[in-house]
Order: sequence, then C-alpha cells, then structure tokens
Amino acid sequence: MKKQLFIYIAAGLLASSCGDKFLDVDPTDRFTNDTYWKTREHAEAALTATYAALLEDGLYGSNTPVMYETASPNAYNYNNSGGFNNLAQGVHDAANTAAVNNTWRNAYLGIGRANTLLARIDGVTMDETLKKRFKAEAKFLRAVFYFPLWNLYNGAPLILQEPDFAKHATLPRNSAASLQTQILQDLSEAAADLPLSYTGTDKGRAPKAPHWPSRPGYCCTAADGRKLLMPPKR
Amino acid sequence: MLPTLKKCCLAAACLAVTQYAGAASIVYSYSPPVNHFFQDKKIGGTVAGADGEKLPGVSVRVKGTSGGTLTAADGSFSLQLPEGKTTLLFSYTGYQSQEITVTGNAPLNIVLQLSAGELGEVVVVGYGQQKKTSLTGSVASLDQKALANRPITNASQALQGLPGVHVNQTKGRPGADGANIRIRGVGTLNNSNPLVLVDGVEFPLNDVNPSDIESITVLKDAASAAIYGNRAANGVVLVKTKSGKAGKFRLDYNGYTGVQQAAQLPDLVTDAVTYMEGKNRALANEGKPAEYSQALIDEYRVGADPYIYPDTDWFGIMFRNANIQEHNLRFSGGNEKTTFSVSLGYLDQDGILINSQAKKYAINSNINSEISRKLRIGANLIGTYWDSEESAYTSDESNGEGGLMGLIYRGLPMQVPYAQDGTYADQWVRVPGHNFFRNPLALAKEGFHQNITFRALSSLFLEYQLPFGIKYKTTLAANLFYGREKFAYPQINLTNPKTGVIAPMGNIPARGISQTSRDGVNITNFHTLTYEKQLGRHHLGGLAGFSVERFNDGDFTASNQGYLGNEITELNGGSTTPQVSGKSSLSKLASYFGRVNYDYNGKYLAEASFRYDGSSRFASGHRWGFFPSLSAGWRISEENFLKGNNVLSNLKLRASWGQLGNQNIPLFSYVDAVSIGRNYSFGGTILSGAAVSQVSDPAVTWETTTITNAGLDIGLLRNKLTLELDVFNKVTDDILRQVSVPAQVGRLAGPYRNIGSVSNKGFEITAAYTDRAGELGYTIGANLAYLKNKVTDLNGAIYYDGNTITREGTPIDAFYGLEAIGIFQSEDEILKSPKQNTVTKPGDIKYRDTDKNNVIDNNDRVIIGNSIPELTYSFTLGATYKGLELTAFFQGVQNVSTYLTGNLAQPYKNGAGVTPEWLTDSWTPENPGARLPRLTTANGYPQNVQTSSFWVQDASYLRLKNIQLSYNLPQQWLKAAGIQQLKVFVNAQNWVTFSDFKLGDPERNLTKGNIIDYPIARTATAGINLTL
Repeated sequence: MKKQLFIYIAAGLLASSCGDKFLDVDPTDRFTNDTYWKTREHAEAALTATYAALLEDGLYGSNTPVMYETASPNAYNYNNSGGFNNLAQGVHDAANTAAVNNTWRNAYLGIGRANTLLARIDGVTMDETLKKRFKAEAKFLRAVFYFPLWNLYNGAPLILQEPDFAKHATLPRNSAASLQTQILQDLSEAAADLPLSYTGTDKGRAPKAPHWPSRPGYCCTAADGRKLLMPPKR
Repeated sequence: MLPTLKKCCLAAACLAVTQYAGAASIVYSYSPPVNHFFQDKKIGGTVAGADGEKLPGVSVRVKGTSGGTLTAADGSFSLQLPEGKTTLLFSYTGYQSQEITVTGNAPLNIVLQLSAGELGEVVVVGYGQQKKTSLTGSVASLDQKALANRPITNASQALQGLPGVHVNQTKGRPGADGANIRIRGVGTLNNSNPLVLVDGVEFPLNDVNPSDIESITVLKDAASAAIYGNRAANGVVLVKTKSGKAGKFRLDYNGYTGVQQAAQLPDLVTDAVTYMEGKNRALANEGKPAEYSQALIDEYRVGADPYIYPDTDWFGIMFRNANIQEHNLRFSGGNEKTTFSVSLGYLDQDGILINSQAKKYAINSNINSEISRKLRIGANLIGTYWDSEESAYTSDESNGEGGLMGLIYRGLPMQVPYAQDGTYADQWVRVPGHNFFRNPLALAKEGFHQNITFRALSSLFLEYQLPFGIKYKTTLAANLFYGREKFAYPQINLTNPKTGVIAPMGNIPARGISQTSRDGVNITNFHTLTYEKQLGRHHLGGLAGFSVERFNDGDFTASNQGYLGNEITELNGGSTTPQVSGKSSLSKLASYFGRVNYDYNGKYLAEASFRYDGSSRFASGHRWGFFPSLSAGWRISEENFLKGNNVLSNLKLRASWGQLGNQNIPLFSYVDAVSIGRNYSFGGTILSGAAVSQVSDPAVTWETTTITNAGLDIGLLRNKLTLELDVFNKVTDDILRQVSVPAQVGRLAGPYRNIGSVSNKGFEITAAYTDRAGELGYTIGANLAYLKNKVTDLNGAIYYDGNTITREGTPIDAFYGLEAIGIFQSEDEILKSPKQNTVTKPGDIKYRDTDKNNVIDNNDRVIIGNSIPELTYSFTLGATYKGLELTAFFQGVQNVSTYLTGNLAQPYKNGAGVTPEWLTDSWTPENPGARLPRLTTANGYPQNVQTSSFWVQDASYLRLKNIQLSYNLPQQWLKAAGIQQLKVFVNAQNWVTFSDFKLGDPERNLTKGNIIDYPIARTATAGINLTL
C-alpha cells in the first residue's frame, strides 16, 4: 500500500506538466496577422473591410454629411450631438468636440486597412488580374480617405506603409500639398487598373471615374478656399 | 526533458510547512480513541466555560498516552483510567488548555478560561494555517461571529470593516450586488480585484453562501501572499467554509425576514409647471426661444385630469419597499475519526425596483475522515444556484442611457405611467432630447431578463503521513459553471392620454428572444509536502508544492425575431432573423511554490517563501515569473525582561518584503488578431470583411508588485487593549495597460504593454478594547487606513481617459480639468479677466488661467480631484448584558471625490430632469450670491459644463453599516424543550449615512460619470438562530 502510494505520487509529480509546453495555447476563433493573407478570400475580405471604413462616424456613416451641415447656418443641432455646435460657435478643440476626432481617426482607419492590403497582397496566391484590381481599389480608397485630411485639416501625417506603432506613432504632419500629390497619384494609378463599371454583386466598387475631366480642372474646394486640381483623364 | 525534470526536482527538494502546533486547536489527534486500555477506574465530570455554559466536544486526553475522549453535548465525559496518579489534559478551540492531576475518582468540574485576546487564534494562510502569534506578515481576518445574522446578500459585503480593505458596494441589484474589494489601494491600471480562494481553490465570492463561511482571511502583504504568485498582486482573500466538529450531532437553523428600501435617492423636481418654467428660463439664458408655450403652461396649471396633467415622481412609482428572507439549515457532527457538515441555504430577495428579484439556493458539505493513522481524506462540495429576474430592458446601470434604470433617472413629471383606460401611457408634451417616451413602468412589467447561474465547486483531498515527519497532501478540485441568460424583448403599445392615439413604443429593441448559454470548467490540482520539526528550542517548518490550473470557458448565444405576441418566450416561437454566435477559450497556469519557517523558542520568527509561475497568457519566453518573499518577527514580550509583565502582555515586531504578480489581461494579447465583421454591401449582397483591429506587444509580461511592510502588535492590560500598527510601501512595476495609440497608426486599438510604476504608501492602525464591568461586557474597536497613491514612472507618457488623467507624480485616474474660481458678477469683470470664451456672460463660471497666457483653454487644466480614498476607517461597538447583545458597525471614507456629468447630475441634460437647487440657488442678477452659476441646459451651453473643479463633488461619507440587537434565551427555559440555543435578533443595515454627497448614494463607483445606480438597500430584518 505504502509503496504503491509512493509510485502514484512520483508519477503525479512527473506527469503534471512540469514544462513550458503545457502552457502553449493557440486562439481558435480568429486569424492572427501571420496566419492570415494566404488566399483570395483573405485578400477580398481585407478589401471589403477597407470599404467598410467608409461607413464609420465622421466619414459617411452616422449621418456625418448631414451633421456637418449643422455646423453651418443651414441646420441646427439641438442637442450638440458630435459637438457640431462647438464648431458653429468657434469654441471647438480636440478635447471637447467629438467630430474633430471622428473624421481624423476614421480616415486613418481606412488608410491603415488600405496600406495593409497593399503591403500584404503580393504574398497571396490568386488570379493576378484580380489582384491588380484589388490593389487599384485600395489605392482609390486611400485617396478617398486622405481627402478629408487634406480638405478639413490642411495637412496630416502621410503614411503609406502597413501600420507600425514604433515607426508611425510620432510622425509629424505633412503639408496639404504633399497630401494632394499623393491623392492624385493614387487616383491616377488606380484608374489604370479599374474597370469602367461593374455588374451583379460587384456593383458599388470603385470604377474608373466616368466623369474624370479630359483637361486639368478643379474638382473640389476646401473650407479655406484651397482647390484640388484634377489631372487630365488618361 | 532535462530542464523539466530539474524543475520538478527543485520543487520536491524544498519541502514543506506549517502545521500549527498548539493545544488550543487540536482536533484530529485521538487515535486510537477507544478507552479500553484502561480497565482500572472510571472517572467522570463536566466541562464548562467561565460563564457557566457547558462545552461540548472538548478534548479530554490522558497525558502521555493516546487515550482520551470528547465531552458530550451537556459538557459531560467519562473515562476509564489506570489506578494511581494520572494527568488529564483538557483542550478546546478558543480556550486555554488545562491540565488536571487525578488521584481519586471524584467527579471533576472543569472550568476552561477563554484564550487571552487573540493569542490562541489560528488563522488560515496560504496552503495551511498558522497561529496568530507566529505570523510575520500582515493579514486581517474575521470569523463567523462578526458576520452572524447580518442580512448580507453577497459574501463580498462581509469584508467591510477589515483594516486596509476598502469594500465599496456600488449597487443593490438582486443577484448582482457584489461589492468591489480593494486591498491597500489600487496598484494597477487593470482589474484591481483580489484573488479569491474558497477552501484553497479559486472561486467567486458571489457564489459562496455567507452563512457557510467559517472565516475570511485577507493576505495584505507580500510575505503572506507571495505563495500565490502571479495572481496575488491585488491581495488574496481566503475563505474557509464551515466543517463539522467532533461531538454530538447538531442541527442549526438561522433565518430572518425583513424589508428593504432605497438607502438614498437624488432629489428632483416633480412639479411639471416648475420643470417647464425652469427649462424655459434656462433656454432664455442661452438666448434661445422657450420650449413650452405660455398657453401650454397655463393649460397645465388649470388642467384637472391627473392622466393628462400629472406631476409624476418616477422614483415613487418605480421603487418599492421590498421583502427579503433567508433560511439556512445545517446538520453537523462526527466522531473522533469522521466529521461532517451539510447545509442548505435559501435566499429570496425582491428588488427595490419593481419586478426585479433574485432567489438563491445553496448547498455546502464538508466531510473529513481519518481512514487510518496515516491517511486522511476529505471532500468538499459547494453548490450555488442563482435565479434572478428583471426587465428585459435590464436595470443594470452600466447600460447607462439604454437601461431601465437610466430611463427612470430621466423620467419627467409630465410623463405618466398609465392612461385613463389602464393601458400604458405615451407622453403628449414633446420634450426635445427625449423624443421617444420609453415608459419605464411598461418596460418593467412587460418582457423579462432572466439570468440563471449554477456553480459547483467539488474538491477532494488526500493527506498521507510519510516517513521522517513529512506529510503529503493533494487536492483535486473542479469548479464547474453553467448559466443560461434569456432576454424576452416585448412589443409595447402606448396610449396618448390626451388624444387617445395608440402607437408602438419607439427606440427599443424589436420584439424577440435572445438566449445565451455559458459554461466553464476550471480544474485545479495541487500537491504539497509539509514538514515540521521541533529540536529543543528550534522549530523548523517547510512546505513545497506545485499546482496546475486549467480554465476552459465557452458561450453560445442565439436570437430570433418575428414573434406574434409577448407571451411566446422561446427561441423556437419566432420566425425571422435568427442569429447565432459563440466561442470557447482556454488558459492555463503552472506553478511551483515553497515556504520555510523557523522560530527560536517562539521568540524570534523568520519565514521565506517563493512561487515560480507560468501563464499561457504570455508568449513563450515571457511566461515564467519568480515571486519571492522574506519576513521576520520578534516577540519582544517573550523576552525575560518583559515576561510576566501585567501591563504589557504582548509586543511583537514584524517586518516583511516580497514580490507578487498580476497577469490580468485578455487572452492572446501578445498576437495581432484579425477581427471579422467589418462588412460592406456590394450590389445588395453583404460581403464579410476582416481587418486587424489591435496592435500587440509580443514582449508583454506580468506586473510585479513589491510590498515592504513593517508592523507592531501590542497587547496591554492582559490584552484588554490591543493595538496593531502596519506601515507599508506597495510598488507596482511593469504595470500592464492597454496604451492608446495615436489614430494615425491605422486607428488601431493599442497594445497591452508594461508601461510604468505606481506606488501605494500608507499605514493601518487597529485598536480594540474589551472589558467587563459586572454583568456588562463591552468592546470598542476601530481601524483607520491611510493611503497615498502615486504614479512614479510612465516613461514620460500621459494617459487621458475622458475627464481623468494618469501621469507621473499624481494618483491614478485623477480628475483633470479647469479650475473654477467663482462666478462672474458683471460684464466688467469678464472684460478684466483672461479671455474665457466669446459667449461668456455674467453668472458664468470663472476659470483660472493657470498658464498665465490670458486665454482659458485646454492648457489650463490641472488635477481637480482624486478618485481613490485617502482615508478609510471603521469602528465597531459591542455590549453584552446577560443574554442581551448589541453590536454596531460604522464605516467611512474621507478625502475622495467624484465627478458627475450624467443626466440629472447636470441640469436638463439630454431632456432629462433637474434637481431643485438649480431652480432656487443658481445665479441671477437678483441673486448674485448663489452657489450655482446661471441656469442653462447642459447640452445647450457648453461653457459652464466643461470639465472643471466646479463639478467635482466630495464623496466622503460615514455610514452606520449595521446595528444588531439580539437576545439569547436563558438555558433553563430551553432545556425542557431539548433546545441548546435559541437567539432572537433584529438587525438594520445601511440605516444612517452622513455625507455631503446628495445626488444618490455616496458609496458609489467614484470614476463613474453618471448617477444612474441600482440603489443600495437600507434593510431592516428580524430572525432567529436555533441550535438543537
């Protein structure tokens, strides 16, 4: 009896996982950035997520275009939602007005997703034509996301690589002019690989702009009167 | 394999501790118990306490042999003794042991004296227990006496009053009214909850029936807690459940019934006309048109129909006096070899909020058996079943605006619960910011949210006496959890009391059912070897062990819509939009630990311990941590120059140092996870999108808390007066925090990183005086803890979170904003002051220009308040006279503030209510001395509601937590009925509160910006304790 007990104890001491291996656990409900980026499906879902950033607050989601109107005399925001009344009163700053942060933040949300796709998609095995189109869509979207940073903030950090905390966290603002250059470059590079239109369940993707001016022309005017000059159609 | 073996050998080599020696508490030492060795003479007698009460279960041993017996229920015993001179040793827990030399065979009437003060006390420590006299660390403990008969619905509330332990009960929601426990301040920016172990195994306090608790010990310093390693940084709470005592079979019943009401609710304007006129005045001050026309106000004034022209007090409608009752039954007993205790508990608590309630069923069983002289086994089973129900629109204030509690706090006097025909009413006076009237009464009565949880802890242990005085013990425990939570969202129609128009209630979830199942299994297995040896005056003890723990949790949620009526409440009853989600997760811990203690002659005490912990929450290479501790004590009163001194009866000096860990971060925080659900619709088809949403830091590892502690225990006048002083410095390094990342990094959530250091310095004083004057016995106890929290290092970073800041040199989460220095009295004063704002008018708050640049802006912000109490204190008063006993317990906090921004805390916020003082004590040209600035709505005029010291409120309070009067019926009355003890009592909980904080209960979550709380109950109960 006594001998047996000793054996059990010794066995227990050894069997009970004295090692580090016992502690290895992998997530089973999600990919990590290193296990992702293998198939066309992965690339497509990443591109879809880049489009999804358009629906965020401060861009085109949460009634943002209408809410911006309430900062003007055209509409009134009775409960100061998003702090747009502060903009109207001129008492806004980043601490008291959510709208100031929302547009900035979510523009970079989209930029980060587009940058990640552009950085990683080359490692994905998939149809090369489609890969080109995905890249072109991502560039188009990146231009769309940089637009408010050019338009409303008059310059912002210009980041074209996959988000990296160590490298990007303290980057200073670039000038509005350098944003403009990048926006136009992305648009024209995108135009080269985008179709004129889509059908079926691809409707809603970025096309080659049908109304792209055939001569240089101004497309948009910023709040302070700056104008975005579009290059001619290629 | 080689390193693996090494680790194991290391663990096995440093052996083991702490059994306690001491006659006062030996229970399992009567083998063989039989007294047939002695045939020569028979002796009998009784054993009683100094008060004359007969003591059952007292150990009577024949000195020098292993023979003996226990006293029966009436205190009597009889023994066969050899002829001639024999010495009998009488011992009983909590009493001084007594030796009697027997020569004849006359009956013995033994009177045992209570152990002086706490000296005989044994406290539970990590993986064992220790005599209080030989402790070198800082622990606080309380036993069931302190808890008896308090209407505690959650075991966490029981910790209130322990020195250095701040217990904050923030809500009274039935089934979810647990208190927050903070031991010696906040040392982390993460979860600051202590590790709770029930009978040695991790188990939530919420699922322990308070009446099953034998004792609670809080390990406060590192020397006591280091043996629990990487989860012990916030302190450790050890709960021991009741077990049986050798002696006669015994049946205990205790029960009470009572009534609860909200302890403190905010005052608000319930007169509709006053409300409307006030709002118009606020808008006029902002330069805006009136919201309520004069015609409407006049109509309201003369209107007679109470359904159309009400002055509703929503607190009065939604809160009630609610019943509570609890019954506990325990069978216990045993013989010298086997003891057992089995209990059943039942709690039925109605909530203060209508249609909210909780029921709890609890069982607890403890069996210990000595199989042979060397082998002892035991089993412990705790099972708790909670069934709580409330509105589907849950009352949890964490729902803020969305929850039912939020709707009650924003109810308006013009709104009415029922229309004339008894149907639920809509509002007819339109209130901007409050466009949808979600009738709180309708939401409370229709639909439901039911939460059922079942948790069982079953543990088995085996203890075997090995050669050379080494004892082996293994414990295998399974903590099982199952829960089912169901929401039945109703559809509700509201009738407009003025027009009779019926419309469905808007802005609530669509009618449907949502059901979640949860399960969890947490397996714990630990092995220990303990050793103890007395060599002359040297006493040596050791403990070595290892443990593995495995946590596996899962959940599954399904929901469905398209129901044809509110009365169908099953998932299968719906037809549209079915949805599912679910997950499971696994985490593991492996640990080695050991402890050595030594004392010389009970005078010089020393102890060292360590734990080597590995956790799956961190990446390989950052997983293992080592947590050592050292402590020493000197019992000066045992020195010859003090021994026998009548004034100074106990004097002990203690010092300790040690390190603890905290691993409390989400699983897989060390990898970049790709999140799904970032979907977008193309051509009418939704495509699923996926993106990284958080950056990670693969080098993340645990926090390390280093605690240095020095203490002095003093007992004066035969321990009538006891004093305990502790000074500590608790420094947490490598604090884990999810850091925020500038949005330009892809707007990713920041990683969990080890970012800096926080120190908590402070002291604790406990004093108690116990004495007797004739028939009157009395005791006075008090404790005070002072704590200074300071962030010492953040690598220069500053973390903002809403209106709080965490930066070097100030406390964690200090309130941060402008400094209000008064109210502008004139345009002239505004012109002469630094520029506040273009819209500033007389009556507005004047802010200090701290950076002297003549403009008030964000750069003028300073620390304006502290959310961690500097002083916490409590005192207890007790008196006994014959069978009567009166006890009172007070608790308070001092030097702490709270910052409120929510509905009702600021006037007319989001179309919610207003407190009366804003209508009477706000600035007007006629009332320039008013306390409050001019009346404006919180949303319409940002200037006065900027984060500033004006809105900081003092949250100090003193509360009579509990007062109890009980009467023990005299023994002579009970004897005839065969009753051992019968006690009747009345009890009041949270009865009186002194505080300047009036916007609700001051015992609150201090960093919360709104005042929406499920009110804490003020409870009055009466009940009995019966022992057969």
